[in-house]
Amino acid sequence: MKNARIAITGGTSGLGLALVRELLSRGARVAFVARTRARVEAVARAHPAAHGIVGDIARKDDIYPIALQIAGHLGGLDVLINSASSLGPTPLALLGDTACEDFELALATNVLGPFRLTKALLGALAASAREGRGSVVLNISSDAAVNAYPQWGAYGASKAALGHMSRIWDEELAGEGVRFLSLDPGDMDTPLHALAVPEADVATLKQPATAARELADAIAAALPLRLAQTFQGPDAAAVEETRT
Amino acid sequence: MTAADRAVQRPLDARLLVVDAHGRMTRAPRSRFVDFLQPGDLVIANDAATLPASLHGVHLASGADIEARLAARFSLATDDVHRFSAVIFGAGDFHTRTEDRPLPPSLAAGDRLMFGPEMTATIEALLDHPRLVRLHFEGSSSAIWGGLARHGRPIQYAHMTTPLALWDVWTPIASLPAAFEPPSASFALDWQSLRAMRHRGIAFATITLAAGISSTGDPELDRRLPFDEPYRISESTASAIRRARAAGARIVAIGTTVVRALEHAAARDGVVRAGENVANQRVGPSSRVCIVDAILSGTHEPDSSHYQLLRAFVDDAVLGRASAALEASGFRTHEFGDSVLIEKGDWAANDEASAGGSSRRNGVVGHGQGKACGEPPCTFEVQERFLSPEQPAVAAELSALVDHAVAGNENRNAIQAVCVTDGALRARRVHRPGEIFVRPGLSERDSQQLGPHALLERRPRRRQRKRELPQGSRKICVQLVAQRVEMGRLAGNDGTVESLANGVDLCRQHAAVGELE
Repeated sequence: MKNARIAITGGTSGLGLALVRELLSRGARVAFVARTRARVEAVARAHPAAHGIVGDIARKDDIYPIALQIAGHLGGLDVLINSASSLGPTPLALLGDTACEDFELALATNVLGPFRLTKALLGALAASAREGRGSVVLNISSDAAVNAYPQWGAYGASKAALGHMSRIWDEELAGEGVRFLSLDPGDMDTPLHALAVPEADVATLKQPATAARELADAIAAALPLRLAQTFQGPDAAAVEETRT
Repeated sequence: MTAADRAVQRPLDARLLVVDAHGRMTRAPRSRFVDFLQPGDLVIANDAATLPASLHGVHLASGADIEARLAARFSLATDDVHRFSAVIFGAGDFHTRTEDRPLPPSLAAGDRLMFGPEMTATIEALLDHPRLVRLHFEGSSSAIWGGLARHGRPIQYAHMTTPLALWDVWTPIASLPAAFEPPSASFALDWQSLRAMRHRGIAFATITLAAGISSTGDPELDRRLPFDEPYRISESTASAIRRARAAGARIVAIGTTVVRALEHAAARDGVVRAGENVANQRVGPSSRVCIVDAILSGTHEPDSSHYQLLRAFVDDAVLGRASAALEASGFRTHEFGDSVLIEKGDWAANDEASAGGSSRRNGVVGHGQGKACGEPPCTFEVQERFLSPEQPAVAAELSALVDHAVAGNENRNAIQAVCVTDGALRARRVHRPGEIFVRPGLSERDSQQLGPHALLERRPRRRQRKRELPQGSRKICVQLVAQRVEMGRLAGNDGTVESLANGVDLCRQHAAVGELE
């Protein structure tokens, strides 16, 4: 993944931070996004090769400034990882007890934000695919998107929407060579998990670094396939023949 | 024509006037423009994203409010964001036409401008005009990108009813933030139309050209436009052009900036090569258009400079009839207006050795007149790598604002040939120290593309991968299996068959693990 241009949201804690470290160690050029300036600066100090961007993907007005800095600083984009997530109400609550505003926040962070950021960066991602560099959007999903866990309503419903959106994106943009993955990293020892299940035995939880390694492998496996998309025009027929 | 005053890139009622190679005209909804392309065509658009190039701030020496409009850049390098040329306006905003905006305070080299608590710039030099300066922004390139994101706004237009946000001016295919005003012909594109092209066997590729500022409202400055514009052509686009030309297919440019980049790239010997360069020529009625066969563009008033570029494609009489048709049908103009699709006329497609070609177009006859594409042009020096907002590319009385990204300029009639754009003036300036802003050679990315794909080369073999994947990745692989249909569809060339097999096998194995458990 050397020199792959990768942007990660939620990059100052938990899985996002582990991904920053993992992808830097693989030689990627990394930009990360998070809300809190002090934390962005701290992570950027600890990882001078990474480019920190302050912004909240749940806010519409932040999306284009974030996209501008990502594409401007990296000179384009090969991989977008939507890792920033919101649980909705904390402590977790039954749907009947969930404030609408908390549900909205989960949707804004987990569905609308990734949609908006992906849309703003779609030109850069498609350009990367056309140039044969490959192009992947990884949306972080959860088993709560599949199973109906009580008290996980806002989070689970929003992650289910994100997962389904990923599949539709993937279907629609396969021809452009932009690949969408929706992957569940498993239950990890992260601040988000601690917020959701404070009493969890951390010894039973996966380390974020382990999940980051698996996800990076999945991205690497998806990337080179994009090379097929560099064929256009007269060669397209030949490509088609090879497939059949 | 009426100015389109709402920031809707693809209004449902957007219209298209098609002028074919024989001068025949057809009106259609613009959403149908793909229907007027031919299978085998190669469509090329400018994928530059638009910078928030308007910065309001304070001139520290006088305390006066100013607006700086970044106008040109020296290269496309992502860390080359310290220096821009910029036009400085006095206080006020887009509600006032630029022509009526107050002048800025008297500016001098060394003056500092403050745009925000952590965003300041120094005027390095005045560029032979009291309002045109070279700015040097302080801080790291990341800090400058952050400052632009926080304090910059897109350049605004007085004919719009509401201020423009970045999402209004980024085209759907916007990629590298490099343009100062949007390459607005690409507003017509959407993902549906790209899909329709693919289904019809029409290829699509992009170049990136840092479209400069289109108009300043200052007649003297406007005569010096367009400034030199850095552009980049990827290896995949260059090879798509080679294939299309070898197959006799047409090349369709989305917008004037694409014409400028491709014709500049081909000026030396008629071949478009991958790499980065700086477009410094003008395209007008006596220009030889070698690469582009048709152009999708905004609509332009006959007294505008875009019109001059279109004269390189089509006979004056036909263009006159087209303008009359646009006017009569109430087409809208400017950035968010309607469009024209113009095929290069039969006369322009033929070799232009005949003297009749030039006399019909009553333009200034350039040195390039009569030269066939591919012959070395007389004075066109594409190897010059510098931005020269300090000087007009041609004598002022001949210069014209012909090929910038968007409409909105005024009243330029005289036009110059491609081959005249660099005269003695340029040759003298090129040796000045400090003028060489663009690194020679290919950009880093382009040079990588010449070799085998780095990621492909570095892919671990299947056995290594199995070892590396811990058990926890089962869920990942189960989902990958669900997606292997897409993976199969995307495979196709020798280089990817093995990777595909690896990927599918990998997932089969892990899916099996899942079933066993």
